[in-house]
Amino acid sequence: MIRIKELSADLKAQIAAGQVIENPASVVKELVENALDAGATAIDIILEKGGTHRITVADNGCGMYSEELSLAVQPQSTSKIATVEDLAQLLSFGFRGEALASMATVAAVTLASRVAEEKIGSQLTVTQGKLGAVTQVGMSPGTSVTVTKLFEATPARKKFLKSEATEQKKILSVVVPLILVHPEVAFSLIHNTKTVIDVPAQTPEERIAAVLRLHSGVLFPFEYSDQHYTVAGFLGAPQLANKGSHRQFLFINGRPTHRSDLAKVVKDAYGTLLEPRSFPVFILYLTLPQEMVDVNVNPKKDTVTFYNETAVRTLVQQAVVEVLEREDLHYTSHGQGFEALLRTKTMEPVTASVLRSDIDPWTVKDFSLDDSAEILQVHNLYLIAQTSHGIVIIDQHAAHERILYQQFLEAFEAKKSQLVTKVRPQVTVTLSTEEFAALSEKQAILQEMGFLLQFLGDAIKVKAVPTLFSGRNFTELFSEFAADLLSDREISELDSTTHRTLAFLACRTAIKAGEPLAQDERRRLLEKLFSTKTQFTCPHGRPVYIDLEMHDLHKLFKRIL
Amino acid sequence: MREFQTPMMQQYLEIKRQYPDCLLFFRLGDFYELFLEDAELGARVLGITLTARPRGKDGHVPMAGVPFHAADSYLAKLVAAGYKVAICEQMSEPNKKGIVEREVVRVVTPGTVMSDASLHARKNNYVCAVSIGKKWVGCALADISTGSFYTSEFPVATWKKELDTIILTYEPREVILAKDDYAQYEVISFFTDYQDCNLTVFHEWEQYTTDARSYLKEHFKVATLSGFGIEKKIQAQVAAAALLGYVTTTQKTTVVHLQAPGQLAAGHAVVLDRSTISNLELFKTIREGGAKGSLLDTLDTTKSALGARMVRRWIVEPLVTKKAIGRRLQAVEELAQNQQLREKTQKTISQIHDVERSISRFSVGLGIPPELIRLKHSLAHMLEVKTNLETCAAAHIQESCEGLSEQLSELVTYLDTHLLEDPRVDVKKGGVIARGISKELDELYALKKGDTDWILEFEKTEREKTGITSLKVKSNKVFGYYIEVSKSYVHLVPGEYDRKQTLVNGERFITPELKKYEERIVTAEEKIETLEVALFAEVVEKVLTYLVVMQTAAVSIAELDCLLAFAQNAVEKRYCKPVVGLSDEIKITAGRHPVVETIQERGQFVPNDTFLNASDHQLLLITGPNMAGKSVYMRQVALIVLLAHIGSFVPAREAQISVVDRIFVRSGASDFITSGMSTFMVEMVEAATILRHATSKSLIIMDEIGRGTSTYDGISIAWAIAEYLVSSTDSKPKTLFATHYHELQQLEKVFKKSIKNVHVAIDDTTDPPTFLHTVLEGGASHSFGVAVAKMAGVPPEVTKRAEVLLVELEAQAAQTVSVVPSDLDTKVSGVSEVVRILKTTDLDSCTPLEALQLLEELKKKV
Repeated sequence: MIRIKELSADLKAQIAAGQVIENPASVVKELVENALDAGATAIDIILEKGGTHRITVADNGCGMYSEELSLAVQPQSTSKIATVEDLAQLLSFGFRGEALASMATVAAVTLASRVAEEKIGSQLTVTQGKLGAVTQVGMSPGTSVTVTKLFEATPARKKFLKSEATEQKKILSVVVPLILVHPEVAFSLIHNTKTVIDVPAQTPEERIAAVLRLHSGVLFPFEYSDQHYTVAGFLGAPQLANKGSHRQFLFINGRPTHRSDLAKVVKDAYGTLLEPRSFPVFILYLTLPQEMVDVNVNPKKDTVTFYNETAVRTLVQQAVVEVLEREDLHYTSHGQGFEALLRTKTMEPVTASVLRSDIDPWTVKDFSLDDSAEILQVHNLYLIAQTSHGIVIIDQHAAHERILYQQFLEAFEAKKSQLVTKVRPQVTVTLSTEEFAALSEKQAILQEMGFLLQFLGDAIKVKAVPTLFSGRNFTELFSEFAADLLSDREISELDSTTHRTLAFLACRTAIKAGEPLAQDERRRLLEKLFSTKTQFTCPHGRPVYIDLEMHDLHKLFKRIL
Repeated sequence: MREFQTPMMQQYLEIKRQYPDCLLFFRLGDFYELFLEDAELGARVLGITLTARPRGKDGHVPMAGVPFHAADSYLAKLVAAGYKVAICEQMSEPNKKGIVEREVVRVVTPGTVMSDASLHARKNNYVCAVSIGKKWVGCALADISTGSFYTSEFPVATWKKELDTIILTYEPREVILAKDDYAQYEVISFFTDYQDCNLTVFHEWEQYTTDARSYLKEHFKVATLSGFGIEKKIQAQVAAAALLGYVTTTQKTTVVHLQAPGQLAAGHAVVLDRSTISNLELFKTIREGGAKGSLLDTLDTTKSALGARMVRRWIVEPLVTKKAIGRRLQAVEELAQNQQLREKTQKTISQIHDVERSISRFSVGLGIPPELIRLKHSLAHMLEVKTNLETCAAAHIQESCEGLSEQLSELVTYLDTHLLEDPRVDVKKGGVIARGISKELDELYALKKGDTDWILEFEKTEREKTGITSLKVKSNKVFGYYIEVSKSYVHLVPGEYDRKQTLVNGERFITPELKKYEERIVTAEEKIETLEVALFAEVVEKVLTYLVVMQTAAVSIAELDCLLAFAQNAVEKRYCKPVVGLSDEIKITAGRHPVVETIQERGQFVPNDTFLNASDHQLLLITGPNMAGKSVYMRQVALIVLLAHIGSFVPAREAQISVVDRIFVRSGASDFITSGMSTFMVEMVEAATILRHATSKSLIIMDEIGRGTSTYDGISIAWAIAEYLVSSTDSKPKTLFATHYHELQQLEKVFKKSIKNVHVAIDDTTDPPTFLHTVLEGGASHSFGVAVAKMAGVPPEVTKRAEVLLVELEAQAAQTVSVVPSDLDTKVSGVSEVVRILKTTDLDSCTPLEALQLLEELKKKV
């Protein structure tokens, strides 16, 4: 018969450790955070076999005295907080005092440290919880922690380790955000003697350029603050967007965090600048009053909750919209992608995905079309024109679509309240209590938009709607509005249905691909296009035109190397 | 010598006679042929087939040849092997009458080679002339592939030493001597020690040097040589004139691109001698002898060949003034702080070709058209560099940018309008000059095009007229243009066609009309070719008027490339900006060895502090176990000081460096090649140099002096040297002195004001002992030699016995040496006092009585 027993102290420690130390990546994360907390200005990370064989994190921070070493590997020992009040004002990464202790129970940890006042450092090795002797070691001031034999004593856990490449990837995914948010610290990461990252102390821009390979031309910096909060950072040009969210970084008070709701806010703000199902690049630094933030949600500290989330989301949304409006963009392309196309000699239409890899940066530039020059139409689809600095290739359909969309949009905006259609017979829409409450709160806006509604307890009687919305399923429409309101998004005057409507209208009315155009039609189209506000993508997110500068052409033809 | 009957072999012999010490590349059509002994040697060195073709009446003549278009790589091989090659070209078109005229157009020697195939892009290729006079020895050094030219002169007593340093520093590939000097055993034996250095007797030496001064003045178009600093240095003039003469003789043309001779670093650079250069492993490692692992290898992150050669020069010519050093440091700092600007500019510089070598080749008539296009792009990139960096504040960057003259853009435009973007390699085939330059040329091309069009039209009309669908107009070298008709249509061929040739499946015809146009096309082509050659020569001439502008620009780019590389190093290797010349102290906080730290894992190198000054820290006596890192520590200090003097940031957290005049590094391991000297002798020769030349501004590294002889000899010598270094009145060089003789630690007590004991720490509580690689104050008590022997795997029988002996010997030594300090203390201080008194006493104004009193006083002191 099995009796319930109290676990041995060892076993308790190992189980507790599992919360923090689940793979090499979590070891690296804890050690790098410790190094940062120690005030390091240079941190070197050395890995072997995805960290499963060995992890060393060496810093030049404040270091520890030899008598502190054995204490450092005890659980719930830390220098980072001393009182309960400190928890609320947490400025350091770590605070639970568990990381080193946890590592020491599941691996061999060699801790070497030297404070600047001492000439010689001390070293201590703990193997699966067993303390060795403290010895002397020659080293530079700072701390170096080496973790080997990870999970060797717990084969079951070891089994869960993935391939070397996967573990390395996981390590990078925890280390890169830390490297990004600390540009003032030099970092290196060496994996199997190969240097993966090696960056000196830099400015934030330089750091992003070095680590993410994104140069300033494709990033839009911004800073936006209100009374309590600051949102700063960089937005990636739309063409950088890709299918994964791995180039989205969010830092709350300097701590790397994942928040899918904020990511969505950013994405929505990009609107039609993006192709569907793609993720914009962003690096956001959110600064909130420390007491509003709670990081102590779980031992890994990668989730952060904060109060008044709605206000923060609104701020982020406004910031992003403003930046995108400020940057009036269009595609310029650098030769390589075309070269590839020319090599394969296919004349397929240039697709957005082919272009994206090569298009950068989005710069704002005045086009001046050469007045006398002819505009060429090829395959009744693309227009080619000479500009002051090169040539521009335009997708006639996409271009017209964009123009019309913008016109529809402007017309809609201007006349939405005048163009009201009475609903005959009047329709009564029943909504949930929540939805109803949300909508009734915004009655005024709805009225301004041209809705004439009567709120009856838990139903809405629809008397008149903007013409654009006439004949629609009103239950669906209002549900959507309510959802927007409930999810704390500003009710966008352009709900997705309206957008789709306008886009559809624009698309159907626009010049088709394959339609021959007369010379003056071509010119008019181009002039219109270049005077359109957002001219670089069609409402579906495809590029409208590609701008090739003489420089690019020269490169293509190897006139310059 | 063999006599020959055929005119060609007679011509060969006659030319060969003029170039007895060269292999003769004798142009025969598309080949360069070697004959007779040359052929045998060439075949062996080049691995080509040796044939022996019967040459009529002359019987079998050994012969080996290489195709002319591949000659460069074969030449490179021969030159690399140290041979000289005379290139003999056909000077007239072959025709029926008589033999083709041939002439040697240039001589290729290891020191005067110009082709990229033979040259190391990142290294200069120097040729050196040495003139040995009665009192003075002159030396001239030139790299004709880049145009740099230097002279130097030194007393005959020290010429070997001086020249040794020059050869080690500049690595000339060839040294030319006068016939008389070449005949001296002493001279020859000196030079034979340098394996990569080829010796050449210059037979026309006298011709150029009898009036060296006038020759130099005339060549450089100057009224006086004082600008070159050799107005009064006769031997330097002779060497320079001889070198100029040699280069002129080999290139068969005046070498306009050689710059006015500068002086080899003397007085305006920190002196680094052979043992310093080799012990600090500046260019190659002692163990492997390769560049990998050298300071240059670590430091050279330049992006162009121009910069790479400059960085080498900067290393061997460290600056000696605070101002000059500060200028470079300021520039490096600015570039280090601006990552984007730096990376952008480096990218541009990496696209700049080796302009110096290109223009040098054009100067001697060797350049090809595509090289001018590369030159054009390079010049454009240079201007781009200027635009990038112009806004920088640092004076050095500003001045380098000024060296990038706007005139370059004129030249770019000129080349742009005058040359086709993708010109043919051989200008004799045309297709080089752009349209719109010569009306005549444009007309010829138009004419040719018209005529070619006529031929196409002719083909079409003939096909229609005859109904032969397979009719084609073709051309080849033998028949020119012809009409080809396949067999099945031959019956349709009209009567006026003139049959020329019958093939398996067709026949070839000509018509008078076709021939007329052929004639016109051929004539046009010939005219085009002649005209293109002439126009290209004009272009080259025009380009050469910008010679100085381009050379100056190349130097500017080289400097900027170096500064950028230093900035890159500073950032990537985490170096700090040293404060140079603020005081007479060397104060390094957390210094690292720039090379060793790169071999170790990042951050694993244990940094150490250093403090040296002219007073109480003048000599650091370093003790500590073997392998603990004494040598690394001392070299690290020397390298940090050196780096600071070349204007680089240094591997340390903070560094304050006094300006030094010489860096001496004396080390146990020596690779001095001069045979017949024992290790100890070499050690002592080097020590002698140091003691004689060191000044208060020098930095000395003495690594285990006196270990090449018996213990007591060694201790005595080491002791005496250390004493001398701190007690000599007129020079107080800063010294790092490592020794295993722990007895020397007692010097600290004697010379409290100068010597400090330090040791490299070891933790002996562990077994084996742990090296801590940390330098601490105080002396070490043991060398742990036995422990190291154990680690190395020496059998326990031996190490155990050694331990026993060690205890015994140390006990004995403690007795003997214990008396030394007090005794020595009085003795030494007494003696120096006596010396001081004697020195200050004026005997001429001394009465006999005073002299006696003085004597008594002195006796008391001893």
